[in-house]
Amino acid sequence: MRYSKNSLISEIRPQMLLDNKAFKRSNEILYVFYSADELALPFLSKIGIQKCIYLSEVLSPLKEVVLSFLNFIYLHKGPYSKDIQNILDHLVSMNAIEVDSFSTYKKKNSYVNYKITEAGKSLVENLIYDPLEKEKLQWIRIVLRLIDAYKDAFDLSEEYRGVDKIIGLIYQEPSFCEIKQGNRKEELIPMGDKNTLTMELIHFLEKVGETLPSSFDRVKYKLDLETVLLAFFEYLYVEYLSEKART
Amino acid sequence: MINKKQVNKILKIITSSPALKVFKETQKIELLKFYNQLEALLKMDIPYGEVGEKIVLCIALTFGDQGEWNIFQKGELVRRIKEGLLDENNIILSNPEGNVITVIKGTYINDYVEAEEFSEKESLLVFFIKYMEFHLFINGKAIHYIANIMRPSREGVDTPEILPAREYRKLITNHHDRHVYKEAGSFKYWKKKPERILIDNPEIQFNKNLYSYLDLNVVDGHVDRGAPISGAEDIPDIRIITYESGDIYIIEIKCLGKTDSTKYYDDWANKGLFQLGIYLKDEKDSKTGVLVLYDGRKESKDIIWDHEIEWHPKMDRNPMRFFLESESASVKAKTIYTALKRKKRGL
Repeated sequence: MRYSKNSLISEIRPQMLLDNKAFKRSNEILYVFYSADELALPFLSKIGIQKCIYLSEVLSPLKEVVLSFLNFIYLHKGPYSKDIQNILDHLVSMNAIEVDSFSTYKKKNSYVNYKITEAGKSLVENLIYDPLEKEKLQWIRIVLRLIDAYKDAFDLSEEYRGVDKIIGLIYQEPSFCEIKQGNRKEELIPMGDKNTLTMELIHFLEKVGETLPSSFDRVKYKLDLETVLLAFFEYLYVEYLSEKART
Repeated sequence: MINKKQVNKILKIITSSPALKVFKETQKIELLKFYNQLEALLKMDIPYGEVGEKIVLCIALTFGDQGEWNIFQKGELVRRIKEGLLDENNIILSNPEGNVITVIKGTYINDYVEAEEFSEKESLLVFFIKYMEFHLFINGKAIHYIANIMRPSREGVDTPEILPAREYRKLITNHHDRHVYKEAGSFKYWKKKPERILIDNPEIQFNKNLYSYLDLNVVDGHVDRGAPISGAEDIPDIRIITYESGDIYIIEIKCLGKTDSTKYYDDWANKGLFQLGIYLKDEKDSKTGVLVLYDGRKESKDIIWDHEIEWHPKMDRNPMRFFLESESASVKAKTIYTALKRKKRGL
């Protein structure tokens, strides 16, 4: 393993990163940065990382990936996890990620943008020798690729830039949307394979072919995992455009 | 709980969404990204009236090579079009990131049939944009069609005009009022307007245009065109299949009047009625069928229906006839007023 001499990473044994729950959360966030780097996304902002982690977590039961769940609440306008900022600070202190630049949000607030370091990439490449960790990375990679595919969709959250633009889709995410519509601020957003609205929609998509009457070619509309995910993203986008058309 | 409205929206996405079609055909998320970016580019960067009205552009996708410039770099494509990039050759070979590898020399694709052939011959994913019409082909197979890329919506979105399939008459009328009447939309069907000469193959154009409108605005069913009816080889013009009951609505389109090489009058309308009867008889799930006539004849006259034709019980007994206007309001008013004056004078 080659780490920067100044890095704290060199003092951490990989096994320790796998055993400790707090470290597991850090790893998962690091996988988001790693996947973003693979997609040539220059950086992730504080807003962007919150949204990427939220989608990775709320959809994870679809692939039965066990992520070390963070708690997301409805704060201000979207889902928010206070743990993420602490973990970002921790990852910066470890030199696994670094501050890339600053961006402005709605022309008034400024936010830090982060990117993964070479040391962070090496760390991920070692962590994924563990099959469970590799599975988590693969899952996050799929979600990030879809985020990347939709972030430039027509008319989406024009006041934002880059990955932050998916905020418009997050606002339509069913589990969050229900809490938002009830104006239940600071309420915990349900996660996991419980009876969440998100999973209800996902389970519906998994069996969508059977829903159609016999005049349709049902086999043609049977969806696999990636297509279910894509249909879910498209649904969020369609809901976003519908809301825009109404207002 | 997922409600009925959401179910319809999801089923519309599953059966009609261009994004899903691209992915299901290619299994490549990068091509989905390309589609989303291209849609945004066409709607935002290509100004209608300046470049958009004249554009004939074919984008073929290939993997691997790096490009010289990027289609999605703001203003880049428009600038190059204005400089004459597409004047002689109009096939842009790009990679999925939008990096242009080359503009293929010595080839100009002028219509969607040529684009389809090119896609088949070269086994490529091809986007063809002519004026505001948008076609997508994968290995020669037509995947998606949009009559006007500038439309503000996408399949499944609640637009102010969405209606259930049972309101097919209202939907067809709305399409006429918005897109056909006096060529108000981007769809131009007159070749020589003063002489009332229609474009070549007008039925295909009316068919495509109406299909695209219905695809977007039928809220509870999937719209297709060119699909054979169950268990037979007959191909009706447009079908709407409802998600809940599986009922099928059949729309048969006929265009009356003259083109440079053809003349179609009442017999042609009667043929349409006859064809519709066959489709309704053969399609066991058919709910109803309607004949839609776009009438480009010199005068707006009722059709003389052939008494020998049997009207199928499921057939809509009132075929929809839309007279195609070719005169401006002032000319038309003058003609009517002159006729009235002549009548008064007893001439």
